[in-house]
Amino acid sequence: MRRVLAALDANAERYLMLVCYTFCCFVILQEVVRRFVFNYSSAWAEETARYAFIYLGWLGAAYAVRERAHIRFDILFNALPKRLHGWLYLFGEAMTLVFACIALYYSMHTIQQLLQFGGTTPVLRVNKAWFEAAVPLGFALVVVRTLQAMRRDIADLRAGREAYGGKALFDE
Amino acid sequence: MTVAFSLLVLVALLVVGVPFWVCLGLGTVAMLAATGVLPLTLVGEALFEGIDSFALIAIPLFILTGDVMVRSGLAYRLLGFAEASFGWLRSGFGTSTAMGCGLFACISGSDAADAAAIGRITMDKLVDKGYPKPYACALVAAGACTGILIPPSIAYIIIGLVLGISSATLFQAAFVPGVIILLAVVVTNAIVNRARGYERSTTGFSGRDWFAALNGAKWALAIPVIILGGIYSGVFTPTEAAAVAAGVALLIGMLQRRIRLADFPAMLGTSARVCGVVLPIIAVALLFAQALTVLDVPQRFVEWVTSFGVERNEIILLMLVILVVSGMVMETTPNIVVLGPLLYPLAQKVGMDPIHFCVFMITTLGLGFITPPFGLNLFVMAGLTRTPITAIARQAVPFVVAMVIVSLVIGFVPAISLFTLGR
Repeated sequence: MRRVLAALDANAERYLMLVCYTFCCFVILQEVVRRFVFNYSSAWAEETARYAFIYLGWLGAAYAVRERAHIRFDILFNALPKRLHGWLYLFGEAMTLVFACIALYYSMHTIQQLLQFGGTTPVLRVNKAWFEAAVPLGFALVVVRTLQAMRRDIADLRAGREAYGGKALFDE
Repeated sequence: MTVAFSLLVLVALLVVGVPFWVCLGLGTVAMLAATGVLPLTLVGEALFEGIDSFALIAIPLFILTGDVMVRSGLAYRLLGFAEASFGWLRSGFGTSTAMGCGLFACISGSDAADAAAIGRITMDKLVDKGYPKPYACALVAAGACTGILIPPSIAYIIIGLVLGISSATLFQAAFVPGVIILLAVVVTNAIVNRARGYERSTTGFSGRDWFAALNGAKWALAIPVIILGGIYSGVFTPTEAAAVAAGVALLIGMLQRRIRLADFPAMLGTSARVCGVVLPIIAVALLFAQALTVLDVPQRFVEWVTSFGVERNEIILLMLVILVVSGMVMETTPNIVVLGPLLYPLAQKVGMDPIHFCVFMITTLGLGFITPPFGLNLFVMAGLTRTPITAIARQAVPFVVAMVIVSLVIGFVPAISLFTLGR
């Protein structure tokens, strides 16, 4: 059980993102092939690709919290000594938490409405709640990842370590 | 009053380093709660609808294609071709490097990816040829600005979404202005090189070598042909072109045994991660723009600016200054989504064509990649070569000047952006 949790902690978003992304690419490619070779195009491809992409985006938001990859204005970081960075990060995380909770609350509201009154997607005729769920799912993960990051930053502050600087987007 | 207060909160959060999408989100929620113009229940839905767009899917795909080009070694072939074509010039390798950036820009939609890819290949050789390292970094950083200026381009996809213009049309309009920026970089390098005497190429032009390089690069060159040809001829939408190009590049890489199946997760991961950073910003910023529009802020901004009795030319200059300054301090995506809806009504007021406005805006924002304090390309090059950012930024000054001049020309001569559309 513990190992499963650890594996999920390390990779949950990454695996889910990989699934969504691969699906997205595959659907678009098969659609193009179909159009050229069989001269026939489907309506579901675009819709499902879009929805997979929205999942990708909000799962990615949680992943970026974990990797500390979200874009921020870093003038104050450059101006202040390193030992204060932990406090800045903590404040940013507190604000992220506030916004994530607001967004989680209202996106759940949307889902409730959809489940109660129905509302299907134009092509697939499936209840839209399944796809709109990307938003609350993403924000729930953002909340988890933010709490984890806060724990890490508080531990670093207490131990007097330098705060985790995050991974750069393109620098390998 | 309440609007001003929420904007103040937004700016305060921004300054203390709260992630940009969170600042925008909290600012918007504060604005909606304070004014009550739109129900807060809208928030949940807007975060879904905002990024529910087929065009946006092209963003990671155009980065993926670039990444595959690098991993499969196709990017080297492109550079070899550029060198065979331009190596005989006095500033031969510098010119080839910039041209390589331009060729890569026809494949990749991101300029940081462009800088990283070309920088990694050319840096050592540039230094061998006599360019000092900081200057070589500045040259690649400037050339890589074309990553978003020459289509395909993430920036044009995003502004298309924000202003409701088809990205295929924007790609068509953006090609010539992008190439002009590329030429400006090449010319600047030639002038600097002559003045400071860095490189003096001795290789002559050889037709046989050129054909050999062309033959070696035929698969690599096929990718931009698929992308741009497919989009311009209307065979593909930009998103489809991106998927096909990525697929073809992967296939070539696998057939040449450069890419194995085991490489896929890491390769897909790099471009997927970009989505997690860009999409939340877009979703939240669209909600923000919607709130501003309902509160009539852009319209009031236009009235305020025009109340000074300024004319078209002054307004274009004013926009240039706003875009350059905000490009200096902030990343492009947030700049596009926030400034786009704000400046667009102003441009309309003075009779700028929407397409012309988009090209002008993105070109000017492109400068921001090589200006401190926040110049993404400078960061990439600094990280790649362990050179101090300030040293690179100082060497980038001639390129910045050249690009400002081109931006001005593009701003004042609409035909450059519009003639390919036949307007």
